[in-house]
Amino acid sequence: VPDEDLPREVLERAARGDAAAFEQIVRRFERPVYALVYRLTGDREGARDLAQDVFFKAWRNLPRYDPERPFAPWFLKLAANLAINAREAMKLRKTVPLEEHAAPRPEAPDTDVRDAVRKTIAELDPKFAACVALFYIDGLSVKEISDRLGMPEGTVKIRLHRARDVLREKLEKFKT
Amino acid sequence: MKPTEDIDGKPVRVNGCDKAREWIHEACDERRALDAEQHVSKCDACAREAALLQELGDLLTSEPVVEPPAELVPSVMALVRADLARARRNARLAFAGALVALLLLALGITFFDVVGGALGLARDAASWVNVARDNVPAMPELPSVPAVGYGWLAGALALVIVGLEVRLLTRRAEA
Repeated sequence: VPDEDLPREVLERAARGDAAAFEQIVRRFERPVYALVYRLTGDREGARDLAQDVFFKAWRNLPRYDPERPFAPWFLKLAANLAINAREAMKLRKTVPLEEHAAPRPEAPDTDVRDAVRKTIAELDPKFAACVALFYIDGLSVKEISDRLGMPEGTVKIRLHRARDVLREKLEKFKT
Repeated sequence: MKPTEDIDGKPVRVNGCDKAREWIHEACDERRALDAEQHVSKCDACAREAALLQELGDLLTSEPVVEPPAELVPSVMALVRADLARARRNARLAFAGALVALLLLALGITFFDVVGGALGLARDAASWVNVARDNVPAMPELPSVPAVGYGWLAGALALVIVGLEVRLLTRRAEA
């Protein structure tokens, strides 16, 4: 995502709490942020809530932005980490209704391999799911993911490796 | 001859599989083709794994682009504007609190200055009366009131109140 459409003056105004300037940032980044959170949740409604949460937290974090540094990598790194943390928190908050304890409903079998894989990604640990989404769907390299998520390349490789194993097993099961 | 399938019908792994698996994942990381490794071409288990990972990669890279819902930007901006309104309200409260504290400070200083001054005047008046009526026993010494000291005490108290208020508002803003 290029920075050139977001002049420094807009970034500085947003960091000082100008809502109109921040709206320009939201419009510029809504696609990559939504795409990532959609892969982390696997459903549109959850993704909308999570994206909203991520943007709001980014708004609160904006005064920490150093205008001397390129904005897009800083913002996307912040958004990716906020999305991962928010997804983890959502997982912790998720509770099973009482009636489901009493009579567990059998899960409907996946009819489409694409849906099965999407669902498996959404069930992965968000740190692993983010690596998969950024690598395969956004087409980032291991180095770029390492910069985006602020983790060593080795960690990205390990996470991709483990996530691939889980997804491969799912694919294998789906085929048999 | 070695069996090619296990009890579940899955291909059996042979020597060198671990290395081959490492190679397969490395190739995936670097987006290289998965069919060039010698071991993979000879081992059914690794060939199957490579084929599945290739299929998985193709499946994921061909995922359709997801468009964000139209209501995303307005809902984010509604949250942001509510946050700004809250911050402004808190700032107004902090300003009003600071004014009240300053008023308290001024009142405190004035009060103790006036009382201290009045007591001082009374003491002086009593001395003059004593001087005038030479034989009248001297009035007992009135307690001395360090007017300025009390004023500063009131000021310090007001500053503590302002400090506590600012801290409370900062915590609220953070929450």
